[in-house]
Amino acid sequence: MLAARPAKAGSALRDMLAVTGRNLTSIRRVPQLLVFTLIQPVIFVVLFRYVMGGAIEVPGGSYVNYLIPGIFIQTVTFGALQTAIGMAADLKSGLLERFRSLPMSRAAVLAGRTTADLVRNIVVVALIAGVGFLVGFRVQTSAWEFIGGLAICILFSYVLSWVFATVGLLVGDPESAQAAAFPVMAPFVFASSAFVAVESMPDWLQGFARNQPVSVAASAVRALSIGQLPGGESTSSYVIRALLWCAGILVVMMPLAIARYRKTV
Amino acid sequence: MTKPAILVEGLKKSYGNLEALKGVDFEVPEGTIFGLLGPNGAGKTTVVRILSTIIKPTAGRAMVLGYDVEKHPAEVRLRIGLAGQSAAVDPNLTGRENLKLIGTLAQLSRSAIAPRADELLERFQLVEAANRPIRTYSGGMRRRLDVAAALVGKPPVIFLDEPTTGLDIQSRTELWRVIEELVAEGSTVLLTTQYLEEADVLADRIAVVHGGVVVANDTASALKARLGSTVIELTLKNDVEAKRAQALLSRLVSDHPEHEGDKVRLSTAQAPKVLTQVLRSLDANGMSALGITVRDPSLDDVFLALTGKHAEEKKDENEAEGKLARGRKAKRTPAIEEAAKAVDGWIGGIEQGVEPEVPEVAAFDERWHAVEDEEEWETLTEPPDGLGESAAGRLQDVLAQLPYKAGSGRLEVHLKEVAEAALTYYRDASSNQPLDVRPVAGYLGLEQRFGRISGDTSADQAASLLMGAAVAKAVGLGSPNGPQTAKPQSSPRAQFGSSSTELDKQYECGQSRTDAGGAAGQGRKRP
Repeated sequence: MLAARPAKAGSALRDMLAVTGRNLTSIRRVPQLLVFTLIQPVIFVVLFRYVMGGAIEVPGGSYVNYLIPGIFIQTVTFGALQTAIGMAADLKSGLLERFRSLPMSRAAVLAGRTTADLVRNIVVVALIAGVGFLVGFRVQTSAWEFIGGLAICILFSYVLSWVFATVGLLVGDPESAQAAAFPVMAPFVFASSAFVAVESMPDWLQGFARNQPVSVAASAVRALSIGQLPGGESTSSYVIRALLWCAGILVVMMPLAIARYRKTV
Repeated sequence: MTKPAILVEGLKKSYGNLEALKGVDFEVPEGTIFGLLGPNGAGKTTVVRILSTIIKPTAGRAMVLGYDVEKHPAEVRLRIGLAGQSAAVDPNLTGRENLKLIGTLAQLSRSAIAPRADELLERFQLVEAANRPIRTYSGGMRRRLDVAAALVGKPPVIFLDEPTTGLDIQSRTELWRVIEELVAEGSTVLLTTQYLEEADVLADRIAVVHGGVVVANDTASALKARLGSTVIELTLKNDVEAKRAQALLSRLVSDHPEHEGDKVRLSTAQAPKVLTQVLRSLDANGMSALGITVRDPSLDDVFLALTGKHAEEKKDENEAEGKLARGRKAKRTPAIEEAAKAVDGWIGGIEQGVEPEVPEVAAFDERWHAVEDEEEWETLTEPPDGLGESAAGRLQDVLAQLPYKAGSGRLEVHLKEVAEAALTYYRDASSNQPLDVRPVAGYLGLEQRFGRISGDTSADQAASLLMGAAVAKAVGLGSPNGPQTAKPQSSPRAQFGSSSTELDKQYECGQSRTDAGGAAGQGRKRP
């Protein structure tokens, strides 16, 4: 008699895709959000490339080549905030409660959110690459290595979206999510190798700045884009460390996010 | 055997210390509409959230079509639809997109989703708006889509959580029509609402929820019969007349009229007849109503009628007051008992060194008249000598807020405020100052009553005296018909008669516990 059929394992994928589609439609319907996500890195590019770039010395000589890989990572890191905001907004509006009352896969909401953000990040990274080339960034390695670098950047963004989905569920409303996330992000983004060489920082900061995930990811993308810098670590060392960070964060945050989701709604 | 579609037994839910549900029971037969009626915070939404598997109960059992919501949530979810307060749609998606999304997540087969969405859009008159994002919808359209969303999976059990709150009358009526259709098709609906009318129109049976418990569970007509179906509210010239009218009208209707300020409220099943009688009777006694409202009982009226115990107590109080107002014998009413007991406890606390609080006593919410004219008022607002700084400030604050109206010839003092001032005075006195209660007593127009208080009366005695005075005022001396003077010539002593001297002696001896209780109860001994 029931119009609906019981949820099967196969339908989990269908649920996830439906939620992903819904999130992507939302992003498309509010293009302002995407525009602002993009304006910010452009400002950073202009600021560092033209305003401050002249005063910043980096190994390898060309600051624009040093900068753009850092901008990739900076953009996806700040962009991860959108995941927190989206999650918090769905929680606050009551949409998550409706989902909870439906016979759908429990994992679909988080998986759909992070997958939609993955798609969004691919678009964002492609656009930033375009901006980079426009201001004089040139790949010094092979096309394959550069694409590998972008892949690491996108993987990193996916990992972060699980972190910030948890933040969004914890905080519970979009404004607070925004306010809560920035102070956490800022030290990771700025005390990193994204914009300046770690060697230029005071000794006490270098240990953190060299090894924290944003730095490692930025260095890995940079190494894959412009090759090993004079006096720097090897490309493979950065890449392996970046992948380890991604795996480590994912292993911790995925269960945390799921546990939080089960508890929150 | 027909199982109930919804069965709720001893359902409890706590959030930390807050008990949202304190043990709720009800059952809903298949194919009926069941209304959960209650104000905000009554626990209605909590019930719905538990039944729709969103949250888990702390204790008790909830079943939907034979499936326990805790043990078989997946089975429950396949059989329910949820709309209203606790479920939303995505404002950025169009109406059609929302319905299709929910169709997918409700596990409809791929081919069934689009036709079902179209069917619902048509039924809820949303075809034109189908391809517009929800954020462009009006409130009524949005609610209709919300209800439509609950129906996508053709669930046999539907929860509508305040589906019409905030809607205009037309949108509400439209939504009611749809809900009625649902049941005609065999669905079971659990509806929560704050509107008695809504529950009345839609529900076969209504459970009235208040403070996390079901206070009544009956058919709409039976509930209304218990209420008296129509409420008549009269506005009179002032509260004195209102009290007179209340006493007068209590002979006309079986349910005792309620009195509140300058209003008298009565409920009756025969409104036209009673209304005529009411107006005639007022006229015959030289009164006239400034305003008349005749209306269906509101949720407030329901609670007044259903939480009957409280309403009964209030009635007694009003009776006692009415008698005092007409200068009849004071009797030991429940209100006086309550006040006396509260003060007793209060003083007991002081004796044991407990930080005292002003007791919550209904009598303390009454007002009494303290001064006759403006001159007296001005002498009153001068802070008395010998009063500790904080006590003086507090008393001034209290007095500054009193609703004295120039020219009206009287000042109303809120007894609770007096009690609070007394308490502040007590604290002030016990912490640093040697106590002299006389300034305060004089200040409050109680000098005559407590003329024998000496400079070395102890703090707790003084406090008890003031509280006793407050209670005495509340139950015996507050004369709404004639203003009480600040330094009454017809002193309270006279009213308390011969027992007054004895009382004062007791105060001197410091037997404060018996005093205050006694002060409250003295009226009983009068001939």
